[in-house]
Amino acid sequence: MMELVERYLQSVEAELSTPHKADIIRELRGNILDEIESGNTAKANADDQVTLVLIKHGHPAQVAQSFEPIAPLVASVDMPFYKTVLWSGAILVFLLALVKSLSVLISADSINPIRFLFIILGTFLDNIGIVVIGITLLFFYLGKQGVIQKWRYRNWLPKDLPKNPSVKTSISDSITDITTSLFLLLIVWIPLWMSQEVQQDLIFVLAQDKQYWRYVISVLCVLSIMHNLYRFTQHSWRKPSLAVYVLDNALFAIIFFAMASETTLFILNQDLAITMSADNPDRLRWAKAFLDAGVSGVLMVIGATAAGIAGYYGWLMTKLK
Amino acid sequence: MTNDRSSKLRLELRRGILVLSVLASCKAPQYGYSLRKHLAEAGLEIDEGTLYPLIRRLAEQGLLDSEWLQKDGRERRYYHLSASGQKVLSQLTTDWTELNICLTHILETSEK
Repeated sequence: MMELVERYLQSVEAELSTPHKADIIRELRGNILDEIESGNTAKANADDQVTLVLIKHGHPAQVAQSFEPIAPLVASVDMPFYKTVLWSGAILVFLLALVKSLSVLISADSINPIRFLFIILGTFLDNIGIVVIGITLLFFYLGKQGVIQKWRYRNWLPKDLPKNPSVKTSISDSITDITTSLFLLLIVWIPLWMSQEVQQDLIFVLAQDKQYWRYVISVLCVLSIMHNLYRFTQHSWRKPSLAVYVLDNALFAIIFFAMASETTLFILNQDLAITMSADNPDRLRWAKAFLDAGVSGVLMVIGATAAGIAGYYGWLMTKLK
Repeated sequence: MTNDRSSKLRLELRRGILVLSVLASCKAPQYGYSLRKHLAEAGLEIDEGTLYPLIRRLAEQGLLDSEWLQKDGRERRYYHLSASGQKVLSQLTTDWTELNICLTHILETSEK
């Protein structure tokens, strides 16, 4: 009988880490023996009685946990804020990955989108673990002191609450917009970062008299990035920021439609055309056909997408108070 | 599912009065098993996994004093109400009495 009890107590002790564990076991032994003793008159088999009492007490790990409850890493009241901070951390890591992948592409003289995505993914996965662990440890430490709740809900006033809390901004939309703008800037400013040797292999180049489009698109991209960064600080749409977003997309749509209507926006790279006409006349024919119809088609599709987004958010704006 | 929810709610309700019951029972010295028996006899069945850690926590908070005594050939840790435990017990008793009056009133008026 005692062998079973002692084995049980040793198992509980093994699960405890507190310096008072000897004291806990000493007390638990007294309580278990009292319970066994009180039930002995009713049970013929002592071992059965011991087994029943021990099972009723629970598994040693459960018993140890009840004496030494483990505090959760993040308290349930802090979970919504924890998720928000995790998202923000993930966005930051993503933006850093984006900058790194852009710089790698620039130094490699490449605009390969597949490589671009792989570098973003690799850099993101390399760093996100550290960020998650760091944020969790911070919440564990500050949550124990109750600092997070006090700080988060300090000095709030009902008048500061958003008018349309249920119409939330989308973090993934902001990330997509920033990525698109940065990639567009990268393409627009190819002459600044791509070496002359690689540029000589490009089939199309922007016509000399259409260079002003670089500046128009750049200004719009920079404004769009700034607005999207601001949107990260907002949980729900407000009419002014939604109006800016609609305007942003409407301007993109107008610009791309205007570029699509240009007859000689891009021209064939003359040096390459001469070589191609001799070595690969079929390729040159395809390039000319794409230049005549394909480029404006692609620009029209991009413009139509931007117009669609502007239209949807314009409709959403009419629903806001 | 309904039984599960119901037993969880009952457990939650009982948990609220557990500290008050334990403090009140420890006016006279009690050891773990005797306290559990005392509460069970009064109609409040509490499982070991809840009661024994609770007594230790109350002792750590200074609401119960404790000492090891050897009786009937077995050493046991006896708990009894400390001076600060007495104050907390008085406060909790007042609160409980007021709550009981409120709740009785709410239950009676909702039946009409």
